[in-house]
Amino acid sequence: MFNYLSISLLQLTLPTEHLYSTLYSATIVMLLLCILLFVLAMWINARKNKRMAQQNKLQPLLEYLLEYVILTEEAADDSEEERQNIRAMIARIPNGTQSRKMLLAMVAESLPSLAGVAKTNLQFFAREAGLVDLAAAQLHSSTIANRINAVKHLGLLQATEYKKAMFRLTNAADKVLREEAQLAMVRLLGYTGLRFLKVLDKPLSEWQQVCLLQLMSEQKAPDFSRVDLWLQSSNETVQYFAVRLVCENSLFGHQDLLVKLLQSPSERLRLLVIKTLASVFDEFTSAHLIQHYPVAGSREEKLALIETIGAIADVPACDFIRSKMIGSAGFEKFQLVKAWLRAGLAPEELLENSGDERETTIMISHAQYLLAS
Amino acid sequence: MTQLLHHIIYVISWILLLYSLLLLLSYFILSILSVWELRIFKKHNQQVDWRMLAKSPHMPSLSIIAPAYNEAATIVDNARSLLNMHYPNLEVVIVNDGSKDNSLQLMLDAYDMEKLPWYIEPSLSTQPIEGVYKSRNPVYRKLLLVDKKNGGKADALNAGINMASGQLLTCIDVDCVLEQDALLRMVKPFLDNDEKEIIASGGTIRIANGCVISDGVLEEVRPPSKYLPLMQTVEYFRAFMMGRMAWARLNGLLLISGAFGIFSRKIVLDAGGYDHSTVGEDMELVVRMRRIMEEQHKPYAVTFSPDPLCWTEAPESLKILGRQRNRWTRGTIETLHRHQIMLLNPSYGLLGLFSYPYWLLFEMMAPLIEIFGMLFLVVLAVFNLVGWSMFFKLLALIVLGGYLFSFFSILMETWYNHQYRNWRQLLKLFAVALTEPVIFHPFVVWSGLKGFWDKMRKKNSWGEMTRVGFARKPNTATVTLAALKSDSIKTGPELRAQPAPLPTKTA
Repeated sequence: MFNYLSISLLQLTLPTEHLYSTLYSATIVMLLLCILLFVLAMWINARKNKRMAQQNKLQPLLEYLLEYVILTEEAADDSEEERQNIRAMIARIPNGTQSRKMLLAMVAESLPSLAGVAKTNLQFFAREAGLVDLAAAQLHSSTIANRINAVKHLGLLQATEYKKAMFRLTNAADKVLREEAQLAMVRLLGYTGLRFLKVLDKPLSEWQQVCLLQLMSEQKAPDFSRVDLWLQSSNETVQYFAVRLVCENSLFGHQDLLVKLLQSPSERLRLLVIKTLASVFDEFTSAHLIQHYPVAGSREEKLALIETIGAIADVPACDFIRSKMIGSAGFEKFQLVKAWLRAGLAPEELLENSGDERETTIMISHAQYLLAS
Repeated sequence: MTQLLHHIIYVISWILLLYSLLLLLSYFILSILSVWELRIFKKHNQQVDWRMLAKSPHMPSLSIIAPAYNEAATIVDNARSLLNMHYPNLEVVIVNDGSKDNSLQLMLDAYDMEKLPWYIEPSLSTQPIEGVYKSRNPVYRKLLLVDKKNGGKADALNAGINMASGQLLTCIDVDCVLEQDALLRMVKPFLDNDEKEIIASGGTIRIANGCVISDGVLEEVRPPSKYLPLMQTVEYFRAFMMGRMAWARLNGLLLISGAFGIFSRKIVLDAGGYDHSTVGEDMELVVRMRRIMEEQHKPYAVTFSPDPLCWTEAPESLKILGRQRNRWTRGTIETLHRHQIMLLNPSYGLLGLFSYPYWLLFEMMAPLIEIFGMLFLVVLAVFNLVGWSMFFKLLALIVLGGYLFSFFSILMETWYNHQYRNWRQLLKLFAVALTEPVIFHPFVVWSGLKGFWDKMRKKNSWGEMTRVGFARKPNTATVTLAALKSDSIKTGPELRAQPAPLPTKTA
C-alpha cells in the first residue's frame, strides 16, 4: 500500500524529470561559482596586498622628493638653480607608470593644503615630471572614472591650457564628470571659473554648491559682477546658488531681483531668499515681505518671514510684528518674540500684550539667550 | 482520502520548492543590484575632498541625539567623543532619561552647565522635561543637555528631537565607535540628490570585536577570535554589502539601523517621531516616514552608504544573541503588522509591491516556513515518502546557494573595503561561512521562533543586553561609549543563508 502510494506521490508531487536534471546542474553550477568566488576573493586580496606592498616600497622615496620640493624656500620660477635641483629630483623617480600615477595621486592630495612657494614649486615639479601630460592623457579616456580623475588632477595642477576642454565638460551629461569639471574651472580660474553658470542647463546639486562655496572661499580676488545674470538664470539651481553667493558675501544692490524671486514656485528658493533678505535689505524690503506674508506657502516660510522682518526692524516691520503678536501661539509666537526682541522693541510691552505671562517670560529669556549667543 | 492527502502533499511540496527558488532568485537579483549600486557609489564618492568639507560652514546643521540612562561611568567621555566628531555645523543633544545615578551632576560639573529657561515646542509628546542646560564655556557651545523624566529610549529620542535645532538628525547608539568623518559622508546623500528628497540615510555597521580601539578611534581592524562574532561579521557583510546596497538601488530600503542613521528632522516630525510601543522602533520609524511620503505622493529616497563608518560590539554568547534576534523578530512583526495596509498595495509603489512582501515572506515568515519545512520532511520521512537522493541534491543546491551569497559578500568586502588583508583572516571568514547552515543558522531560526512565541504572549521587553567591551591596546583608554544598551543594529534583510529544506523524492 505504502509502496504504491509513494510511487504515485512520487509521480505526482514532484517536479518532472527535466526539472531534476536542471536542479542537479544548478547545484554543480553553484558549487563551481562558490569555488570561483573564493578564488576570486583570494586573488583580489593578494593583488591588492601586492600593490600596497609596491606602494609602500615606493612611498618613502616619493615622499622624500615631495618633501624636498615643498620645503624649498626659493620659488622655482625665479631661480634657475632651484629648477635644476627639482629636475635632479625628478630624475630619481623610478621608471614605470605605477610610480608616476602614485606620485600624481600624492601631489594631488598635497596641493589643496599648500600655498605660496610650496604650491608653485610642487606645480612646477608636477609639470616637469610629466604628471600634467599623464593626467591629460586620461582626459579623453573611454572610462569615465579615468576622465573624472584627469579633470580633477588637471585642475589641481593648474593646467590652464586645458581650460577649454574642461569648460566643455562643465555641462556634461555625466553628473560626477560635470561637477568635477566645474570645481576644476574654479581651481584654475578662481571666480572667473564660475562663468559656466551662464550656460549650465543641468541641476547644480546642493552638495556641489557647498563644494564650490568652500573652494571659492579659498580663492583670491572675488568677482561677483555676474551675480545679476545668475539670479535671472532659467536654471533654478543656478538662481539658488546665486542667492547663496549674495547671502554669504552680503552683496547689496540685488534686492529687486531677490524680491522678484519671492514669486518663484520653489519653496526652497523662496526660503533662502527670505533668509538672505535679512542681511541685504533696503528701505522697501520689509514692505515686500509683509505683502508676501499672506501668500506664503507654508508655516516654515511664514516663520522665516517673521524672522527676517524682525531683523529689518524698520517702522513697518515693528508694526507688523505687533499686529501678528496678538492671538499668536506656539512656535509662531516664539518666533515673533525673537523678532520683537531683535527689532529692539521693549520686552515689557510684549509682556503687557501677551496672554500667558509665564510662557511669554520663558520665551523672552530663551530668545534673549539665542540672540546673545 | 488518499487523493486528498496526495493533493495536500503535492501543493505543500511545490510551495516549499517555489519559496526556496524564489528566495535564491531574489538573492541573485539583489547581488547584481548591489554591485551596480556599489559601482555608482564608488564613482560618486572617490573624488570627494572630505578634508576640505570638514571645515565648511556651508554644510547643513546636524544634531546628534544621544539618550543616556544611568551612564555615570561614561557619560562625560561619551559627550566629549561626540563633541569631537568632524562636522562643521554640529549640535550634540544629550538626553538624561531620568537617570537614578549622578549622570546629570557629572555633566553639569564637567561642562560647567547652567539651567536655562527654554521654550520647547512640543512637536512630539514625551515625558516632562525637567531642565535644559547649556555650558557657560563657549568651547562647549555645541552641547545641549536635556534632563527629563524616565520614559525609555524612544521617549528620550523624541525629547531630543524636540530640542534639536539641526536640519538633520542622527540618533546614535553611543556604544558604537564612529569613523571621524562618518557624519560628513552620511550627510552627502541629503545634498546630492536633485530629483528626490532624501528622508534618511543609513551607514554600514561593522563588528568591532577583535579590533583595536584606542581613545574612541579604530586603530586596527582584526576579525573576531570567537565563533559567534566572527559568524556575525560575515552575516553583516551579507546584510549590508548585499542586502541594503541592493535595496537602496531600488529605493526600497525599509530599515536603517538604530545604531547609526541620519534623518531629515522635518520628515521625522511629520511622521510623529519614534514609537514608544514597539521594540523595533528604528525600522518602524523608517517605514512610517516612507509611508507618509508615499501617501503625500512626494518623490523621496532612503539612501545607504557602503563605507564602514560605524563599529559595534556583537554579542558573544548564545544567550545574548538569542535575545537580540528574538527582539528583531518581534520588531519586524510589529512594524509589518502596523503598516499592513501597504502589502501589495499599488498606491505605495515599490514599497508595497516589493519591499514589504519581501520582508514579510523572507524575513518575518522565514523561521516559520523553515520549521514547517523541516517538520514536513520529518512527517514524509516517517511515512517513507522521501526520495533521499533527490532530497540531498536539492539540499545541496540550497546550501550551496547560501554559501554562494556569503562568499559573494566576502568578495564584495574585499574588493570595496579590503579591511581584512591577511589571507589567513580571509580564509577564516570563508571557513566560518561554511559552518553557518549547521551551527549559526539553526540558532537564529530558533531565536526567531521564540520571537514569534513571545510576540503571541505579548511580551514587549527588550531583554537585557550585556557587552564585554572592545579590545584595547595596553595603556590606552578605550572609549566604550555606552548609553542605553540598545543593541539595535538589525542587519536588515538578513539574506538568510539557508532557506527551508525541501522534502523531495527521487525518480
